[in-house]
Amino acid sequence: MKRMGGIDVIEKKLLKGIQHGDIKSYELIIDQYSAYIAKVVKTVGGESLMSQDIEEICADIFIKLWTDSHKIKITCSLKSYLAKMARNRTIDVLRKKNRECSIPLEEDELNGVVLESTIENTLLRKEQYKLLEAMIYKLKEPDREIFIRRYFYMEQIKSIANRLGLNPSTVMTKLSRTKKKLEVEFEKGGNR
Amino acid sequence: MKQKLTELMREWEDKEALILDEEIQAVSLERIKALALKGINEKKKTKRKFRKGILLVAVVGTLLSLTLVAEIIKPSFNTFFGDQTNLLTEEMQDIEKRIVKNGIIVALEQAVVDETGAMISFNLQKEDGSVFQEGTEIGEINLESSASGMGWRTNSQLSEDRKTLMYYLLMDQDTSIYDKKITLTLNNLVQVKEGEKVLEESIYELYEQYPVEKRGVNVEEAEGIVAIDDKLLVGTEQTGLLYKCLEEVPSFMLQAVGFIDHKLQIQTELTEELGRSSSWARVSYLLNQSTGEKVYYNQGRSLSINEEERIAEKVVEVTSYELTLTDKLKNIYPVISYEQKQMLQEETWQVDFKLSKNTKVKYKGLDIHLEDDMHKVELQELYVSTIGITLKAESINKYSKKYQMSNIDIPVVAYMKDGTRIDYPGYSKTSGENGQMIIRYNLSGEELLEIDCLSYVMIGEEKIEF
Repeated sequence: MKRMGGIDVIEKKLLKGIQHGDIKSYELIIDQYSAYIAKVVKTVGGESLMSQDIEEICADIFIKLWTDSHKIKITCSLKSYLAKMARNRTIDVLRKKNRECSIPLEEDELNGVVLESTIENTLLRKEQYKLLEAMIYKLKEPDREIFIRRYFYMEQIKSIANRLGLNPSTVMTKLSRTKKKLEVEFEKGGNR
Repeated sequence: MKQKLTELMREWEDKEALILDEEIQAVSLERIKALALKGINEKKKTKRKFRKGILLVAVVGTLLSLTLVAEIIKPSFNTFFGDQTNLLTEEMQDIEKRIVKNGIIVALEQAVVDETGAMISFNLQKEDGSVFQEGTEIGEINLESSASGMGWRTNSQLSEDRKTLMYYLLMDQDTSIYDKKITLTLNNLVQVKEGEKVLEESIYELYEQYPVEKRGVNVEEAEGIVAIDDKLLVGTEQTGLLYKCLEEVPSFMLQAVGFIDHKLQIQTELTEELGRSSSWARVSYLLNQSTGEKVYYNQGRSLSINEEERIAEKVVEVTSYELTLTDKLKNIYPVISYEQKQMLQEETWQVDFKLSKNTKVKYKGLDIHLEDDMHKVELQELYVSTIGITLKAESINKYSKKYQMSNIDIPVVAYMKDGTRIDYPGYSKTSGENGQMIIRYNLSGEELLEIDCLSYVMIGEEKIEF
């Protein structure tokens, strides 16, 4: 049995159910989370995806959960695990359709943090992620929510601004500052 | 090339699950569910009843053919795979393990095994030769072995004379199962009864019978049960509907009936331990008794757990059907579907066995290189058997130079010599020994691959001839 960390009792039972091939547990998971997962896919995919695409991506997520049920490691919650799967799967599907990510490259790329594979100047991606994760936890609100909405859910600036009652230019400024902070953290960690 | 934030965020898990504003009205949740259920190719408990005519043809056919198949294949595989069973013959191995406990004989029959999977048949019979009750099933099935990452699913059927309860079990794992001890554990015998019941009271009568006070909230759009913030208020004994309506599943209750935004909503509650041994029930549709029309629902669910660790499943069922508080409502009756499980025998049966290497598995060395943003993937080995396909690959993080699982999709299709194709819609990806990536493609439903007729396998765009 794999570790299930902070996952709650119901989710544990549902996961145990699908690990044992219980269709009812599988259906309950679908019923419980399909609307939320569809929202994640729609948010990440934006106008590039038709309803049919969204439905197929969501179904793929649940099928994968079923086929990998005995192998998956859930650290937070089933909901957040499914959201991560949905988010990443949507990006992969968009890539396959040759549709670019909705975030402009200059906003997405970390200045000075290189990807070239020379062993001397490249940090393990895992370490890079750890730094990023630590920084996100340190961020104050609303900067933290803005960052997650933009870079995890790929939400439009206008949409983030509307939700948080801010001016779009304020959102842009906050994102830019957060990104700058991260670049500094990477520099301190010798990631350039 | 610079690192991208959106790529780094692939690892993020949003613990708070931020609220998203996107409208998904155009997205069909029913279609998602239908696709997701279709995709796993799991046929709910086999309820096939072979017609006598078909059985007769099968028996006559088997006798006439006088082949080895007829002598060595045990009944369970034959029952599930019918004509396809002869495809298993050459790969089949006998297990021949048998235990007797508390009046029940558990007999492991045969298995087909490959690099990362196996299919095993077994059956249960009563020691005194008497029959099982209709609907008898094993409550819970577990497998244990030193092979890592084991998963399994089962299918069952009671023989026509009800003396043999037949099963096949399809398992897969990350590492080879050859010659490793496997323990099969069967817990309890239960009886499963499926049914459907039209409620004796119409929606109108339910509604009239349990009038509910309006509790000083804005109920302009709500009649009957009070609605607050688009949710039905769960009724109490005095003020609402709390109605045990199904003898077969006593923990199923109708909780509330009401109207919100001119849409009929029914709230039900089921308090059951989830799992193979639990019963379930739900309003599957409404029946218009005067026209015979069926009205289906959109269902929304919420789950909670009580002190006894039993899960309460609250189902709010909303129809977009234009029902209003008119005489029309008098003809509308809820129809409840249920599956009732009753304990027949509390007992645990456990049997150990081993499986030998299958020499009929087809193998090809590969030299296929794929790449995504983060990983270089080298496909190295391909194994094809009657029951599935295994790909072994090396996936290396381009930047850390370490083994790491890639998210890359690798579709696989097998083609037979007569041109027919076999798709493998479901697969699982795991880390095997030495950091290798193992991708397992299971057979689709109960369709088998005829190994001697295999022509080639398409891995993405690459054609691998056999």
